[in-house]
Amino acid sequence: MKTYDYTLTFSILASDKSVEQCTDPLFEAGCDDALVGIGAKGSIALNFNRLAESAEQAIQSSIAQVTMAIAGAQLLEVKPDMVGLSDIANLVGCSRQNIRKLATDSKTPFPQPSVSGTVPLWHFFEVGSWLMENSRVKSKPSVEAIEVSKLAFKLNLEAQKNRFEQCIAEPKPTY
Amino acid sequence: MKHPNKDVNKAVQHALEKGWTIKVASGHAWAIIRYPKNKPECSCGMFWQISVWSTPRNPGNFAKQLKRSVDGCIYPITKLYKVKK
Repeated sequence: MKTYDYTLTFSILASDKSVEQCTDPLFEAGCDDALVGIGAKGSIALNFNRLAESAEQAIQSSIAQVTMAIAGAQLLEVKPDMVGLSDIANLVGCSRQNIRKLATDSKTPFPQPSVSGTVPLWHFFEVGSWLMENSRVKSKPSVEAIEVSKLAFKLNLEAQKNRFEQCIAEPKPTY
Repeated sequence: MKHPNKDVNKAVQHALEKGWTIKVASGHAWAIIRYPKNKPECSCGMFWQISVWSTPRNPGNFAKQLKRSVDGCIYPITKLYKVKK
């Protein structure tokens, strides 16, 4: 059994509950190993520290518990997935400068960012795997973090796909 | 106000020292702690207002998670990800 650390964000707009009313059903459903962030209207974030056999088991059981506790809750995002340089540094426990050096050093072909621009973003699964394989890197992410980010990558793609389909189905703006 | 678990209580006291406020809650949540000066661009996102369980499954871990959120964003000072040599 390993402890997996990940954050799930859910939209609760379709539910009849307010964010404060959501916490009790979540506890009863078994999310007592999560830190519940209720700082935004219409969505909740749960930072789990779950003991499980695999990342798949941990994350899928959490999603099942949340959707059972709050009818109509929709998964928005699984973290850690899309990360910037500072996030990568925090995840592996080194300085931002350290990661920046690796990313810009021509000797070591760092993974391409998924989103470019003023704040480039990478998928942590790609960067984490690269850090694991690269012998010049001293700070390595944990195996659990890689496992979680792989699944986060997959689930986020599905969530994005659902979002796109909803967007097409009802072209009205939802804000 | 004092949380029954000493680790969680320490994390809550740490939050209060940093200017967080505490509000009594009902049910399974012991209290809701929030940072009143939160800015929308703050990287902690939704964890500037947190529900603190009366009986978290693993109080030690829960206290660590709390402290991490209070100290800034959700993944700043974590040592959980660092591989021990």
